Amino acid sequence: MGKFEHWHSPFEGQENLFSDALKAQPFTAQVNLRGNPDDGVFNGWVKDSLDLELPLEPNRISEGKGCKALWLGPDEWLVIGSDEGLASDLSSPPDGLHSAVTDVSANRVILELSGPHARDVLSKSCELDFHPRVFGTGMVVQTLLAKSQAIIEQVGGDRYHLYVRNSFARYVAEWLSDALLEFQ
Amino acid sequence: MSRVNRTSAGGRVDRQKILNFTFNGVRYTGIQGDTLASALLANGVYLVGRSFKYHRPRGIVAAGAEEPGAMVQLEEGAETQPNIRATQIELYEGLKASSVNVWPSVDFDISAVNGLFAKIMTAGFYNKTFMWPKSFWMKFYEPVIRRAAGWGRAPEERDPDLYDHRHIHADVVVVGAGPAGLMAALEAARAGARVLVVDEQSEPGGRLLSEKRVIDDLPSEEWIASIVEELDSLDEVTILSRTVLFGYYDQNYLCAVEHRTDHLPLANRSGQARQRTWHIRAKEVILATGAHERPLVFADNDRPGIMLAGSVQSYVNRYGVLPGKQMVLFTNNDGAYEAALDMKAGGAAIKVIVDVRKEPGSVADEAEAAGIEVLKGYAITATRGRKRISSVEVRTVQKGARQYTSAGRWIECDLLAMSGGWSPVVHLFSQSQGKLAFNEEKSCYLPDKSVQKQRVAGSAGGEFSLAACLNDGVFAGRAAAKEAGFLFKTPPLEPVVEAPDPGLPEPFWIVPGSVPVGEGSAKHFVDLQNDTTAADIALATREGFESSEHVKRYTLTGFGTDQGKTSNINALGILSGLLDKPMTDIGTTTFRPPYTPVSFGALAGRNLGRWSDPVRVTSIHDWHVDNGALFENVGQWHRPWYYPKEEETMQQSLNRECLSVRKGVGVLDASTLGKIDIKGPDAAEFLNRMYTNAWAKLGVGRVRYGLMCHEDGMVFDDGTTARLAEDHFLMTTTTGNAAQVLDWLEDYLQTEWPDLKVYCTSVTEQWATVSIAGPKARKLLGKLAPDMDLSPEAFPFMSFQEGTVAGMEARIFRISFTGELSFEINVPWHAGHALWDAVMEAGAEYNITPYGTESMHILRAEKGFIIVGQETDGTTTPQDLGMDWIISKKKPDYIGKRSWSREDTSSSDRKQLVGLLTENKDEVLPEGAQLVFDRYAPVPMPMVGHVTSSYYSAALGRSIALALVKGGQAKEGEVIFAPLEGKTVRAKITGPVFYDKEGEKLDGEV
Amino acid sequence: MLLIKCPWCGERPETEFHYGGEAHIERPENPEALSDEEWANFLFMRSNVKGLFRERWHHSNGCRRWFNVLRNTVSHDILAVYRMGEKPPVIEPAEENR
Repeated sequence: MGKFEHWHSPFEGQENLFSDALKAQPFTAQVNLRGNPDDGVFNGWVKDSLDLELPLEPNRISEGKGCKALWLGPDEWLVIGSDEGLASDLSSPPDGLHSAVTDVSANRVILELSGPHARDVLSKSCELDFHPRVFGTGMVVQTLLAKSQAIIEQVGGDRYHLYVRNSFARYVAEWLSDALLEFQ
Repeated sequence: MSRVNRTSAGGRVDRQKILNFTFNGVRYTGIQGDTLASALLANGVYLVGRSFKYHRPRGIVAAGAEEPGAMVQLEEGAETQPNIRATQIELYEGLKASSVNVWPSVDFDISAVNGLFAKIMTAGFYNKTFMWPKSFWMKFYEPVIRRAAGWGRAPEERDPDLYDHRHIHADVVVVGAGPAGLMAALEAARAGARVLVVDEQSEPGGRLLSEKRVIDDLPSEEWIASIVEELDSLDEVTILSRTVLFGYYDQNYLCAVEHRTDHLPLANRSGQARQRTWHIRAKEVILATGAHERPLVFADNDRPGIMLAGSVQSYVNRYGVLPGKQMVLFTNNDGAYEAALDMKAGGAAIKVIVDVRKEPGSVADEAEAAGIEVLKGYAITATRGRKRISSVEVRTVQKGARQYTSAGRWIECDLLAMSGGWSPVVHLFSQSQGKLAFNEEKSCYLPDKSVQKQRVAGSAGGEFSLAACLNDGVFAGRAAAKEAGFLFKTPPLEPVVEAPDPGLPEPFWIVPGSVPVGEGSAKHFVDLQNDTTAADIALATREGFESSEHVKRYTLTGFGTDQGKTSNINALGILSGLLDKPMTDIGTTTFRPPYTPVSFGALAGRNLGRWSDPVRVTSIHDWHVDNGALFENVGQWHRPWYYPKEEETMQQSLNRECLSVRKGVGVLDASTLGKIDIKGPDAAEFLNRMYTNAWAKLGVGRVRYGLMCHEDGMVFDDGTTARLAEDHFLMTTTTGNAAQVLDWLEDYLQTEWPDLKVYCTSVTEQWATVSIAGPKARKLLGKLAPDMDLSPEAFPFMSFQEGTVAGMEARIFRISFTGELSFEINVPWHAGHALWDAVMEAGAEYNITPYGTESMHILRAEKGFIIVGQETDGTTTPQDLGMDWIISKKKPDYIGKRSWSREDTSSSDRKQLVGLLTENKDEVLPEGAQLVFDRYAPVPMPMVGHVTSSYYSAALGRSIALALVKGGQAKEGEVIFAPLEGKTVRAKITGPVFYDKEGEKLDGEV
Repeated sequence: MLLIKCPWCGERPETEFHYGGEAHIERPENPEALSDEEWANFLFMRSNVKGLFRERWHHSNGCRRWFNVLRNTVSHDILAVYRMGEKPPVIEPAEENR
């Protein structure tokens, strides 16, 4: 039984919202990871389990084999992976280690906003500065997008992944598709 | 009449592009580049409106944002906008405008009789007149005054246009694209800074567009083009034209409104945002906002055809329009002479230049050499002309005299240009909390102490010559860029200019006539928009209002859409004379945002209707929609309220839904409940401190209900929490409080008890929750989860299990908010819809009935279960709710505990939760109804509580209500009354549990 | 609209934060030992200063950290931010009087 077997995207039936500039991403495995980054046991365990160095600098991501970790807070990361078993990779922490591994694969959907007007659309929806002098590939922020909590990650030149909580997903997608109209 | 006043050549207009427009129903033509004001003047239309209070004829005074009077109603129907300055409307094909404050027409205004009552409409007339008899105010005085006074009409239809907002960040923001602003922008941009230039006009250049200048051997328009070309070539420069920076807030946060389509014909505007509000974050700000010319205050200085000299210059040079052909200039400074010379060059006759100074600068000689008569040491003491000025009276100035007794001479004219010098536009500086100081030498208020990262450049800072403005811009641009962290590779720009020195004005705040100011019929207007006269200011001081802020409020000077752009300084000058105090002691009033009016559309942007607030929906939402649910807003969530079937009333639907839960099985989408994953060795201890009851001994696999209080002992949230493992809990919160509860938990973990090893993670949207309730719930779940033992022994009340439901991995919680056997089945959010479909299919044989929030409320009220925010209001303790059973006596300390022994919270007289049964079982009390013990008590009756929840219960065949009643827990069986409109309802106080008091239904059908 | 520097995430607009009232109000170790008056002081009494004020903010739409801000309540100037458990910075009087 595949993990996503009975899953339906909140965007089913909403295909008219999407375009080259705005796309819904397929389901991925997502794990919310908590732990003390100053604790070598924690870091070692994560590295062994995921082959990944957690980003310790705020607003950064780091990549491992088949997965990546987004900095969410000084002791919190969102690990994204293509392998459905991501959470089970972290299922047995060393004895006595204080950490929390929470499967949040179904907690957020991911939208991809891209193209020459991606930053213009962000500027209509978010108060933060995404100018290349202050933001770039490999960086991530948690903020408000269309008045909804969101994680915004720059995944390439003019490509952004927007992680939006499910219940807000349609509202945000509709907002973005409307914000895109003037550029199409 | 056809463009009688157009010059033959020159200006920033295209004489080949003819534009048709209508003003007050009459068709005219203008040309591309015109404003409505320049086009009206070109057509010989001088009378454009009536004044606010006295309905005196008014014309165009200025050429820009400082215009105090010429406001029009632009367009009609849904598109209409009131009170737009004709000087700021770019002409477009098909424009329609009309005068404001006129009825029935601008030429014959019936309200001009207000002028006859002028004596009683002086300063403060709102406060003093029309006060008796009191009952007349609402019915008679106010409607009449409102109709006669006031400005244009608000649109009555929905605004059809689009608006939006954008955020922008810049190293250096330059406000104003005049000579100083352009220099500042170029310097900062060359240094590599991200530069944003905001300019209110249709094209950059500022005052240079109105004056004939040569800079770096180029005519000013070519010079402007060369600067703009270089700015445009730099990637990090943004120039926003037609954009008014209207608000300057803390930390260099600025707001501007860009007029994107207002200059286009209506038909060409669709599909794009008409106006856009820019939210600007700037590291450094340069205010190059220029200066506004001041009027002179003399007798009847408001007639159409009396204009500011610099504006006259704008009309002739920029728009190719002669606002008159027989001009008189009245000035107190050298700079204004150029207006006369430019008008002469444009073809007008200059009748005379009246200069209050006995010894003007060399410009007077130049004027005389050009054949113009210059009257030195003279002033204008009276004017004539009903709908346009026709002549002026001049007399020699008698310094210090209350009235001039010198011989008067009348001179015919059709245009009176005036100049009292220039006032730096310090509005934004003042908004930014910067302090202003009066400069005696320049006789104007200048920016003094700045509190933000900003600079003022050019005439906004008191530099009135072009050369100084340019240099000031260079300096400001470089300083700002450096401050923002940019290094210079280029030497400073050194523009070379040929321009006359405007000199400094000789202050002349008020010119009396042959009688003293305030005597006789002449009016000396200070504020043309608010119809405030010099006599009004005098009256205010006589009545004891001496502070500038008081005078402003008493006389209305500087109020309204104008914000005193032309009037403030003259009012203060006059006040200074009246009080015999120097200007430096008078102090100016505060300028407030917006600099010019902003439409509500621009402020709202896209945050309207469907966009006004996020709409949160569950993964099962489409099913609810497809099956006819009506929705209720719970916070931002749209939850199914109830599911009406054809022909059903709301009550019939609720009865059907509730009875199905009591007798068969119902299903509820409970996905919106907040869910927090709590993990760590100290998790149980943490819950012990946050909840009022004990958690340490809760077994793994068990679930417990908990109440959360604030430190003041008042209930804040409730919900069930399951122990998933020794160090692992899943907490649920109310739908509306999910975020607040998580913040609250983090507050204590991070600030009070950082030693506790606990991590909290929100999983609200990880899990969809389908709640099935009713005696047949076990049978239904048994079909879906054949591998699970669901017997009461194996799966008791308040426990949870993991299992496979309809082929999906699920967490199942056996809890109940209805009093019936109930299972809350949780699957990953995206599987919610599939689970719901499976439940509906399997439940068909039991006639499964989906129910919404309203039935959920009824079912829980029948059981006396509270809803936080309905039975509680932030002043309700657990004891008030009769929930002493959930208060741990053993735990030494937890949040809320200490407050319950305070005198007020331990009082027996507090409002306590009770049930109410109305005497008439069909009477459903309104929620919120106030309650009294003594129905005959005199009004105001002593109120003893209120109804918190009230429904018709189908299961009980009667109405039920919950209420908070003073000392209610000891009053069971007593009678209480709800005095309602037209009737008083009698009810009996009962316990809050109405249905299945013994809890016999919890296990359902075994 | 304030720009607040989260000690972790950097400068962010006020909309990302929730206000948490006066800082350094420590929850008493043993509330039961306090008189009603002392407890009421803890619950309700705040200094409400005009000028420099130490207050708590929560980066609720960001990293979810609570932290402290030193703000001038007259000018809205933020003079410092510091993490929970850190000592408030000492501010020179010259700056304070701005």
